[in-house]
Amino acid sequence: MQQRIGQGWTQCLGLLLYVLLLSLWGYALIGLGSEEHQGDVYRIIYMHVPAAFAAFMCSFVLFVASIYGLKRNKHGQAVLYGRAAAEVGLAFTLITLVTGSIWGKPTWGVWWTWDGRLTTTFILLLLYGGYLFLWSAVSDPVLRTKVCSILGLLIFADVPIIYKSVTWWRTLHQPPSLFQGGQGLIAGEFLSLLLGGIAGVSLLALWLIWQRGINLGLQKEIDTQLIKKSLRY
Amino acid sequence: MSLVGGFIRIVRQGFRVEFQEKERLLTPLFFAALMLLLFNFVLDEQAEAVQVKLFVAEIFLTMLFALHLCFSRIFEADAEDRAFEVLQTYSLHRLAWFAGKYCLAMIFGLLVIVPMILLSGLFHGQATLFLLYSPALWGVVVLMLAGLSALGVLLAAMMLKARGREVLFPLLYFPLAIPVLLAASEAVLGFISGSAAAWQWLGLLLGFDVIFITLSAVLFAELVGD
Amino acid sequence: MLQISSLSFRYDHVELFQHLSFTVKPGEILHLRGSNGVGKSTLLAILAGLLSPSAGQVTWGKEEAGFPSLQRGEFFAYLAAEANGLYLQLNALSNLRFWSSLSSEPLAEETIRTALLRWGLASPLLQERLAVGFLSTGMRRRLALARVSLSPAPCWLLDEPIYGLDTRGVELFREALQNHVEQGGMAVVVSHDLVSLAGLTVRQYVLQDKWR
Repeated sequence: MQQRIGQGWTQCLGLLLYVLLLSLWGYALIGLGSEEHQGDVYRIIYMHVPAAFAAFMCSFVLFVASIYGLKRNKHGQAVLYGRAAAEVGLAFTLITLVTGSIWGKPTWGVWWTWDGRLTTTFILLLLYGGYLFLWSAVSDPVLRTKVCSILGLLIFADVPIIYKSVTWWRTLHQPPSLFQGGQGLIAGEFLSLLLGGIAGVSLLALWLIWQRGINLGLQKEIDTQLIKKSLRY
Repeated sequence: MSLVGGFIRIVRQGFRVEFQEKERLLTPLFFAALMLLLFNFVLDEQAEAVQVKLFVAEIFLTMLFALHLCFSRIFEADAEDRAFEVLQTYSLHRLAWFAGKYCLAMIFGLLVIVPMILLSGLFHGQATLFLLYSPALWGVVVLMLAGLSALGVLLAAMMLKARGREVLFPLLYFPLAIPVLLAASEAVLGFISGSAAAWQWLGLLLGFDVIFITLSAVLFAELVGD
Repeated sequence: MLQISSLSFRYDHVELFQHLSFTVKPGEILHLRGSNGVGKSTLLAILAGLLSPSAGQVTWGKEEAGFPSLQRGEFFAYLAAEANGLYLQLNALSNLRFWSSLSSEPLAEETIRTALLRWGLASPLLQERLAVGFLSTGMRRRLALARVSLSPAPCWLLDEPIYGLDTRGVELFREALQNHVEQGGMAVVVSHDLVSLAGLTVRQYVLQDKWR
């Protein structure tokens, strides 16, 4: 039987993660001192960098789910976790791009720059979106599992290549990027807070994928019951 | 049936089918010409120095767009009356099937790209004509086609039964093909200016080709089943 | 001989069938029956290799030892329900030539022409000059059946074979099926129509409807 979302301990776990993250961000907002070069707005890095990390981590989850969906679990749940990973990944790429933009404007005067990492994140956004569009374009569930799993593998295989080519292209054509993350933040509590943020958000992303995957499974069950009941008459 | 036998049969059938409606082979070429025209309106009368860069940008972008039209049609005849499914039930070696379709994609792709590049070189006049004799350019173009064809065949097969695939195909194909676009244009520009980076970009292009031809072949076999 | 052991298929949470087991021997026609939606076409698709089962096995081969075992594609000849698997831009002859070339024993031109004649597609113009897209539903179905009948595969998987056929077409189908079976072949047929199989030695197999 499917695991229910309402089960006590999964909810507690989620709650715990949220509390941890909120306290981390609270500290980042209020507790931490101002950074010398960038004033106060730099604090958004504690959301930007973890979100970026999570966005790319979701592609790895997508990869694993796709492998299972293709080989071991063709008629089951695996591909649903793939979809969940794409949805959560989409959300985090969006957060990364928006926070990156908010950080950029007051700090360097631009809303956007074709920095290697940002550009790759943008491409990843399009790929996650494409995955979800493909999902809704194929109606046969067996074929859909196959096709989306294959796309998941393609995306995971291509992202490092995209990243490599885009950042390389960037370094060849522009002066050294202004958009260097974490320059003054290598020291002490800045760093540990950042690492904590990355860990926290990654765990949150995994938890969200997990819950969403279960959610999708439940939705399928409901749809199936609907079909069965309506055919029974 | 042997690998080679299956490959030959698929290629022959592809030609037979396209031969029936030869005009349709030219549609992507006309589309490419149209794109060149549009580019000209927007990027008209630039300085000599920029002409080369514009030419390179133009041909590779047009290549990307025109080829997606070629590729999305690769399985069209097979899909019409579900011949694709019937093919799946024959003991046709999956790699032979992919190789055959890949070969067709390359050939039909070349039929579109070569005239298109010649045309574009002409349009840009004296500044770019010398490039049409450059083996570096054609070498990169072929490598770019090699990578794009693999991706195109796989995506076309994946979307055989997808609704709205006219929009969906480019939506997935373009982002995945970005490394090819970058590597190809940077390599050509590098070779023209004699920079050492050109060889590294060529290396990236080759790497992409190797990875994606292998990956596409394997995933195509997965898609089409045992 | 064809053997199905404990075959199950489900997609999402719909369990179409579970633990199906049966055998089909050379010379037998198995008539798959059951109400709409019960999974007959799906079962045929699994046998043909288009879908994988959730559980269970499909095994096939010659009964007598010493014969080479056949690949799936060489053992089965599949005809889908709502499509004929034809290339609509090519003519009838060209279609059959192509499909024949993919089988393990490609046939001579003459054999193909004779088959076309037998199936009522006699006109040379029709055979060689007319694109299949111009043929009527019934004619296309005859052509599809011709493809199956020309195949060396011992087991025919036919999904609604007489769809679109006129009386003469149905007669031709019965003749071909009888012929095939008399020569040691076998067939699994999904058909709501009982008349087309009347008089032939047929084993019924009813897929139970699990939901009622």
